[in-house]
Amino acid sequence: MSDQGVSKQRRRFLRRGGAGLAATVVAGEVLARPVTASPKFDAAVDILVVGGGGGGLPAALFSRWLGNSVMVLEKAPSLGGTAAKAAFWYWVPNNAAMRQAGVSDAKPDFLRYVARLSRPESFDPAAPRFGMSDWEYAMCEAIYDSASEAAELLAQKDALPYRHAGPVPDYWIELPEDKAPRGRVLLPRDANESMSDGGRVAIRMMTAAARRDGVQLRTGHRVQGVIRNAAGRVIGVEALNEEGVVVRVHARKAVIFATGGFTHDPELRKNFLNAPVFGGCAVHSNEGDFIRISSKLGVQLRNMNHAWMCPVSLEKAVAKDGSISGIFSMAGDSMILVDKQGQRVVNEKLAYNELAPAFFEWDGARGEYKNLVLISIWDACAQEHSSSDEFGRLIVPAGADARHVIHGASLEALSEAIAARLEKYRSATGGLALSDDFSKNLKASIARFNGFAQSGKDHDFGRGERIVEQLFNGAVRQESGSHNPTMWPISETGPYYAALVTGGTLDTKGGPKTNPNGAVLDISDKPIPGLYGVGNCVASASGRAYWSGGATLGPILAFAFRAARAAHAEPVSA
Amino acid sequence: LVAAKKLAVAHCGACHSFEPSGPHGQGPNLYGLLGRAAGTAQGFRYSPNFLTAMRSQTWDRKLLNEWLTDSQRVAPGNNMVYFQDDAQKRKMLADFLQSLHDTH
Repeated sequence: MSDQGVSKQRRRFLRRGGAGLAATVVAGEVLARPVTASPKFDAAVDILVVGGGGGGLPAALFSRWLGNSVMVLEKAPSLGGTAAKAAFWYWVPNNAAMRQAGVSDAKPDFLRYVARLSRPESFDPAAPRFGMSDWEYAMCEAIYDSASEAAELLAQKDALPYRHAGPVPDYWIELPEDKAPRGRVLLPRDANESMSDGGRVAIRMMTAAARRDGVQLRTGHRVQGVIRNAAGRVIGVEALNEEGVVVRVHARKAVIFATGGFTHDPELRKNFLNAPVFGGCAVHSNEGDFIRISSKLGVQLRNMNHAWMCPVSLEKAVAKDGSISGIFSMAGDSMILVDKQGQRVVNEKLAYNELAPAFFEWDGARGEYKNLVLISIWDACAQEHSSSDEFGRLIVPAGADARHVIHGASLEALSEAIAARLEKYRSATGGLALSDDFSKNLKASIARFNGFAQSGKDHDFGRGERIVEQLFNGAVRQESGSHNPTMWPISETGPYYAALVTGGTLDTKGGPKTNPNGAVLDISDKPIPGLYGVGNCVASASGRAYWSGGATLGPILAFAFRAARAAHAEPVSA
Repeated sequence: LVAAKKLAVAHCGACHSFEPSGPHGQGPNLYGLLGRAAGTAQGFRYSPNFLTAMRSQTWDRKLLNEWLTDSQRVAPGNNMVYFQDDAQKRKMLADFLQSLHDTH
């Protein structure tokens, strides 16, 4: 929704509510605040949760289990948010399964590991906060202290029984700071064997538990603002339902926002992210609602420049295809990524968050994002042995959606087909086109790669040398002569396949700063009474880091747990 | 039917496509759903829980109405979480889905 749309809707709400506007100057910030003697509410609960996805559903359950009446308002017509599309691994330090197995995960070790990755520029293993700010340190402590308790409670209540992905490594297992390199990852118990569909399992189980335990679930309600009383306490929200009717809900104790990031708001993306991403995997309803809603409240935005990054199919991102997934796994051994000149520019097997920045490398001499679109190329062997419709892979099996796949009987024919496909996207890519010598360079790149594949050693980019790179390699043909499962020579003969790839977001991870209990802080670092936020709608203390698989959802469960507990302890407003 | 289509795109369109031979997304393509045996969209991988519950059923208005009321009650543990308490909205969605078939 445009700025104008929001303000128009807001005016309509104010008119309908019969509210006047009072502007109060607080520490240089103007707070627009509806003031009403006796606001008319359509419903009242103790704790109101906005957003019914991977943060909102657990926040609602935790709140309910403390004895509160709870309602969830979800903007989309169905629950689940981005989490429903995810594998829903959740990274839980010092979890019960680790403790049972005798795997040690001490708190200082955990904090050193996250500090090393989140603040590499100031990391100091001997400093009291290891180079993190006091706020970052406190937020990461909260993850360590509460993620396991949250996971255990969800499991005990049969809302999210889990299984332990014991062998799954952290993404930075080689760092000396990673003292518990395996064992922190949990996933929904009933997820499939390949661990790809945990999100759908988690959402259906948490939804079933919410209905079982009496959480009121309302879909199709777009929350557009909070209602504060004369003392400044947040006492409810106003929402627009699918019929365009304004609904106001009173929250006697607190409102917890869990509305996701701003992946699908081009204006916010353009002005806050440090890269020109096309969008990404997040559900379309992640439009930065809480950024806009909270901007009237004098909050501090933090970590707006970073996102949970991943490669995405250019074509699906541009088309805003609802089924788009992040490419978690650049699968295939006889597969490479080349730039518009036909050259390899990156280690294709880097973990998704680390591969994504390659697309946004700035060429300061030419004045362009030279890698904005890279081209994945593979041969018939990879097509046969590495195809999968899981984890957003580009090499898909017969019968799956293959509109993004470009075909060529020879490398020349493939190059022509790639050029034609890129031409379709000229207006979206700043006119990105193949160089005249693309086909010639591509052949040379393949020849060079094939040499590396034969020896198992990628002298250009070190492909496949780290554990995480093999974790996401996907299935490949068992080759008796292979020294490195991530590389095999690309065939001298066609057919060949290609796909256009760019960088995207799983979702963004910046927003209002909260305290470690999820309370949204004002510009003087004081909680705004009655207002909480968890998940991607608020600031993550992770900086640019993606510590491990599940480093999104593990912390989200911890903060949902802590926010629910703090909201439960809030005084009851009239 | 225009309003019904708009509702269907909003409620179903993130996961399903509607056009003939449209691609599968999170859920299967829905063209020609009514009259089709459940769980038979070519190339779509259904969850085991869906197949267990839906095997031998054919999509008709009655089944679709139950499904839209609470998909988890019809096929517990299947991948689709959707419930719609509003009978009018269910009818509009079903009207639209019924319109998606070949005309001879």
